[in-house]
Amino acid sequence: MKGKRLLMIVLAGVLACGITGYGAGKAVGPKLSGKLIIWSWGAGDEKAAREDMVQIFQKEHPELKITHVVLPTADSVWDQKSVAAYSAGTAADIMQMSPDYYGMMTKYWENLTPYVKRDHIDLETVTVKGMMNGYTRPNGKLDSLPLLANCFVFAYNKSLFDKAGVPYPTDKWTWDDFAKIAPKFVSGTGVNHTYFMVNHWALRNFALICKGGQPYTKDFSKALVDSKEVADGLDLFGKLIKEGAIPSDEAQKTMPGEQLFVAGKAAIYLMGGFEISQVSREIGKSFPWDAVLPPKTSSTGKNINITFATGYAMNAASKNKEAAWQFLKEACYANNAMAKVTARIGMPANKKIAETVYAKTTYGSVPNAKYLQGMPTSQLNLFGGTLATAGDLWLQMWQYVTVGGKTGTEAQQKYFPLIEQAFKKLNIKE
Amino acid sequence: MSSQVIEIPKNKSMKTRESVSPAITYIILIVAAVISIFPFLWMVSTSFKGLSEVFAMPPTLIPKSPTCQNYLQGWGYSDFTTFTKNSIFVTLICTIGTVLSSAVVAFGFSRYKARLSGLLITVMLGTMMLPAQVTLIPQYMLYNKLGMIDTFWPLFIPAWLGGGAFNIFLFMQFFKSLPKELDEAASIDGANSFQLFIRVMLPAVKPVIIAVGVMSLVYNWNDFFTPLIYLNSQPNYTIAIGLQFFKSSYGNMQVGMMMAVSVITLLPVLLLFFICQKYFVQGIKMSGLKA
Repeated sequence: MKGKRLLMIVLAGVLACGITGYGAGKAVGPKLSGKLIIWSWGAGDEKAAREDMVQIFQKEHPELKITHVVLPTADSVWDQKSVAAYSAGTAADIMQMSPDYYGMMTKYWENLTPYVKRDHIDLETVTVKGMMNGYTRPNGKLDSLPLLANCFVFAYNKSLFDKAGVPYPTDKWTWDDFAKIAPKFVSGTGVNHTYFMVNHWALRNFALICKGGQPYTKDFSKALVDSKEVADGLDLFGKLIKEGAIPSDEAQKTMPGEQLFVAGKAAIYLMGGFEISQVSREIGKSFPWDAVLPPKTSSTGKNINITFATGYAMNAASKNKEAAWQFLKEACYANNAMAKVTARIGMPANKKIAETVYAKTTYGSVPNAKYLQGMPTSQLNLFGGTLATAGDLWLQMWQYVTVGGKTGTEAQQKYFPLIEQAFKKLNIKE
Repeated sequence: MSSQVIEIPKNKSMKTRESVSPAITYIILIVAAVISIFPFLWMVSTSFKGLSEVFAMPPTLIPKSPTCQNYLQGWGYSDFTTFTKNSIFVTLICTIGTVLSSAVVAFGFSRYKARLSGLLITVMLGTMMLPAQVTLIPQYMLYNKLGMIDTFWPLFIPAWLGGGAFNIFLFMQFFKSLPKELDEAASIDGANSFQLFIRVMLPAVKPVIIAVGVMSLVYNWNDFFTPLIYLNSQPNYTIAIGLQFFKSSYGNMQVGMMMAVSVITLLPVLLLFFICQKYFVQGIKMSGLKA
């Protein structure tokens, strides 16, 4: 009787592992064969991680003949090359993508919803919370599966906080606290100027939502950057730049953002998960540092954040869809070895590895777990791909305030009609 | 009859003007030269700096503690030997093709008149206004049909089929300045069109050949867009693509290494430019492009 029960428990365990693909973190799926072409982007550590990940997949599927192309660019040239390749029918079976393209390439990609249903996968349980944001189109089509995501923390220089006589921030701090302490860090002029915070390229996204504002409605039908909250956010950063607490866009161009922080010239750096290892390496033992979550918005009581994510899509014209699907699953959640490699450069979509290997990795005194904490309340990069025109206008609006010295309301009066128009021209129903 | 030269005595202000005027010119030229050469000096200087010194404030032009680490690590960062070989090969073939084919086209346009030649010249010059992105997809599809994707052919073919409207225009300007009597004399001596082109015209346009050659060389060496579009496999990449491996997709850069590899890969082009500099300037002057 005892033996039977034990056998049943073992069998149930095997079945559960089989369904979730967790077993030994290895591939579970049909027999595969044929050629599989994968296109990725990335340089340096990213490139190495992608290549190692594909090598693991190749080892586990020797029956597949895999060609992996890594292009050292993710900018407009990638888009042009991809579109040309899609049009000519030479695009790879699997193409790297960003969910913040908001459906720009969706017509070239296979709908993955039937595959997910067929394999009974609950993506919300096997991936990190918040990781699936942006992968499903408004019409229900699942465009692709995530590979990794990166959100931000506020890294701070403890020495500069001590020097300013300001207590270290905590995860409970608000944007009002942030604004209040900023002037205490400003000192010197010219090359000796010490700033409160680095002007990071992602900061304008934070400015939009820091006071509770939103860029647009959830169905993308209407722009919302005319709200008082958005104007307040712009005014906050406009004031900080005017007071010299944050360098202007122009001043920041003289030096990469992280270098200003690493050189001890700024107390706070908006640090993405993609750069923590580099920043930590560059700081070395120059000064003690730590990191907290971005401040809370008073109206919602939540720490806001912005996510930059990437995943893989299956080319709708692929001739080896089963193999492509297997790769997508394993890169996303069903292969722990692949996820461990991905964890070197960001938060892997694979929940198990993200919560163990990734979360426990520490740089300086900052564990990656901080980024995991930031994910549930994080918003996908606000203006990418299809929303790029509106994004350009938002950048102009930001500069109107931070460079031109105008108020948030003045910026709204000038740019909101244009952004509204850009949204009217959008068709993000697919 | 004896001629008498009357010497007008120079007054003080004229003398001062004569001596000050070249001084101002030299000062302006020196300032302009320093501004122009500064990025290059900065690149060389950065290539010898350690990470902490690259962005040190105040910045230093001469590295405080020079290091060759960037050169050693940078070259091994990716397969730069292969990338350089590819760049040399592609640049050489494209430069030869550009010089030859643009000279042939320009010779035809400038020395022979046909019924539609005026229209053809306008159309040819019109292609200068066409951004590469507009023709990208049809061209890509064409090369794909010909099975040439991920080969060097899409880089070579345009160079050998005209070599670019600007280069043709440059050659045309020069061919037009040569007297018609040259053609007539060659014809009387029994030369056909081909012989006229090879034996008479080409030797007469040496400065333009060098000018077009140098411009084509620099363009092909630095071209990032075309190779990236048509080449997929890393063993086919050129140096311009390879350098991008120092830059992450989030914008972070390995600045020191990037500068070191840039210096190494720039040397052959730079050397060639200095050797041909005299002809290059002459070519630009004689084709009438310089005011």
